[in-house]
Amino acid sequence: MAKKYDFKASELPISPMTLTTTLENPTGGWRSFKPVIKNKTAPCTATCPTKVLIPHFIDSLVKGDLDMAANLLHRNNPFPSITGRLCHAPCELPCNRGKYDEPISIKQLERFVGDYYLDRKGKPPRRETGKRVAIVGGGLAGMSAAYYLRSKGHEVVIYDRNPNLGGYLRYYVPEYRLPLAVLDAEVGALERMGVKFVLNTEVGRDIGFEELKEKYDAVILAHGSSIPYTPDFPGVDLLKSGWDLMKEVREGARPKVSGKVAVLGNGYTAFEVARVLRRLGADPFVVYPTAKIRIPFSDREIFTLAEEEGVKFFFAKVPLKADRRDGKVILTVAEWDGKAVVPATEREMEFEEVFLAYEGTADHGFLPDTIRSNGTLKADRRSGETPLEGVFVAGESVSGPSPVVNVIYSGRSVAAAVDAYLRGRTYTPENMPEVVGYERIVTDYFPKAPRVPEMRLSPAERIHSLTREEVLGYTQELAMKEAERCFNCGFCNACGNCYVFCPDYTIKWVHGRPKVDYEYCKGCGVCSEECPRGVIDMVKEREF
Amino acid sequence: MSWAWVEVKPNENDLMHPGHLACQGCGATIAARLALKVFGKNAVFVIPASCWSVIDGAWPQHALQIPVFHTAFETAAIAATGIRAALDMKGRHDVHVVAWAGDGGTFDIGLQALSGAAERNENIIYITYDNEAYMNTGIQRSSSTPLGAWTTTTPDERPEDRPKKNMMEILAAHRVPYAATASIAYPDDFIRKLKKATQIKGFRFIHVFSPCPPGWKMASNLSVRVARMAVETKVFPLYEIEDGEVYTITHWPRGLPVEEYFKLQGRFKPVLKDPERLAYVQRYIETQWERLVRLHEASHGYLPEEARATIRSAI
Repeated sequence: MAKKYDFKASELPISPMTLTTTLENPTGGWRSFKPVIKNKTAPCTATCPTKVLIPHFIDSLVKGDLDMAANLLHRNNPFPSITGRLCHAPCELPCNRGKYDEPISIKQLERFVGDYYLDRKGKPPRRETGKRVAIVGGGLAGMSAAYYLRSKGHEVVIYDRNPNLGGYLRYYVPEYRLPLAVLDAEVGALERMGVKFVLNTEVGRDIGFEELKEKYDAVILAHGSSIPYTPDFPGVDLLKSGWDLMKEVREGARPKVSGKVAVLGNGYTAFEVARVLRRLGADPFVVYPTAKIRIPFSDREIFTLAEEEGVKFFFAKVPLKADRRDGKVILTVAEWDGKAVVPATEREMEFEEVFLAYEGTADHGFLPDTIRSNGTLKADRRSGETPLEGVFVAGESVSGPSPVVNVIYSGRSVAAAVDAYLRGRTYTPENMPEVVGYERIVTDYFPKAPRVPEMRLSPAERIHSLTREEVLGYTQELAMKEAERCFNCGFCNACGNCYVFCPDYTIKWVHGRPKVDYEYCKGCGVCSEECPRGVIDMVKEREF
Repeated sequence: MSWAWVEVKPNENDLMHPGHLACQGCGATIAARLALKVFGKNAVFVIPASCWSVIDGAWPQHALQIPVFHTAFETAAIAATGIRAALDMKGRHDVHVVAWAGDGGTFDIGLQALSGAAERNENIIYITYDNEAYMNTGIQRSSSTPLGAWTTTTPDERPEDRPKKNMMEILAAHRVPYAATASIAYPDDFIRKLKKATQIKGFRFIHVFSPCPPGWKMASNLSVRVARMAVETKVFPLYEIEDGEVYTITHWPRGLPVEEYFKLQGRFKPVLKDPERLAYVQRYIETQWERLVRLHEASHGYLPEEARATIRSAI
């Protein structure tokens, strides 16, 4: 039998003294909710058609890492210098900061980072896959698809009928909106990445569609909606083309136009033609088919600019007839209620010239009947898949005239679908995690600060130049100042609040990021409450 | 990332172990964590009967990585004085002796020992973490309980009708070299004050506002928010008094109405229901704040720009 006691009294602990630490209490058992650190989607990213990682790139910008900011930005938007000038910025509408003071000037920050990186980007992919992709049309959609497919390592060849890439942006958008140098730099980046261009070659005329299909593993149709739409009313052939005017002006010509002129159109092109005419010295009137409040959000900015510059508008009117009398054009317009002409509202108006500036339509003539139906293409909006295997459609050729950022997204998502197809995988559209609402932002941590205004020329300055850029970009100092206002909704930027305020020291700092020690976390929720940007959620674990 | 903590960086190791016995969301533990970041391992804590006697762990466990001396309720200051004297005898002048007491052990029970140590200008740091009642014995009223608050001994039918004891004024009257208020919601401010205190010789007093979720009848996750609201509503101003004379307000509050602070807690329900009482409490807070601002002005000769907005609302 063992001894009753196998120790001496002197070996007993001295009772009032500490012998061990509280690490022996796994207080995690007290918990009924557990904190989960999980990045979410900011409202700006959720609204952006191409899902630019806005809080991520702004955070890198604040930390001074411009290259990282550019990398994050380019992950979902290949051409920030273009969107930074032409995008209608839907991201700024739901900005949580807008509910606090003023929204972040995301567009200007994008432009700043894009311009910084413009000459640096364009690295060839690390490894080649050996697959070949042809892209029909070197407009924005084709360029966007080419950027992503090339960065995935595929060989990309762009066919374009024009002598250079860029499409509408190169040949029509005026210099004061988008300097040619910016577009050239973006094209140069594609070239450096190893994208091949076959220019002055129209598919259907110089090379057959079937031939392309045979030569390449996949074909992306991104021929856009580049054929100006011409309405059908008597005397329409007497009118001039606004598209041609924009093209001439972009190429450097300065045609003489003066007096009262009218612009007939239904979208961006109409506003832009009117602004070009204003700069050429004319007094333009835009005849627009819908009411002022029905101008789509994507055209609001350009409408405001045009209005500031003195362009006049006839809203909810459609042209019925045009006639030429004594060298003047007599245009008959009538009220349009959205469906039909309102009877007895016809009115004759006299103009020096009338320009047609309707949005473009797509010409699918070179394509086989199997993927066409009633003038549109049979294609999935997101992946661009068509009934023909290995043939995809991107951009305005399927969606019709769209804002630049939607076109870029189309190119990007189709590129992802093509990449999946070439690798024999199934394409899964990206999913966005939960969006962070304003109620999750702890505004106490953010002092109020006004938005850094963008430097835009005054209307009087603007109408004197067709080449001077109308909006000047931020300097680095201003960009930093603006970036610091960002809440970084839903993006953990390692501010350290959860660590500082944890009453239990259970938020550990591992590789510069917070990590919850669930063995001891009591689930008080202070970290979740004090996270300024709603990254930490409390998840129900059990009930007592 | 428009702001970042200056004084506290998240990559450091803590001198406090998890697994301690504080309730969820305890403000006192946040205060201790932050304080230990300043003192480092070269400190002794003297803890009288208080929440922290429990938090530190039952025998044989211990939550802090520094020596702690648990002592009787009324003896925090005098025990610290003794330890200080002993360390000085041994030549260990570099060790900080910190009396870490709750509001009961400071405002009520430990007041005479505290007053004695302050008057003799003993070379110790006295930190009181103020949760405004005797919390671990079951939320009984202390002299730190604020005007209008519920406790088990001041029930809803008869809430606290006396204002909180102004401990800072008592210490100022002792003409101690340094006395300051701090809040767990402002770690930078708290740590700066602690750093300043460690560089001064003599009796130093820091009054840390540390919410108690169970005692204040609120959810544990609101702990820090409540502490922040107390400062922003001027209920608990952040200031320091040097040599009992020079008053400096270290954080200018936004001056929110006091309801913003009260409505987060269940203990102020009787006040929130009674507009007359609420107006009285608001008036009291305004006069106290105005008095403090005047002391700041008298000490420095001018008022900063931020002060204007907070005073105008007082009238």
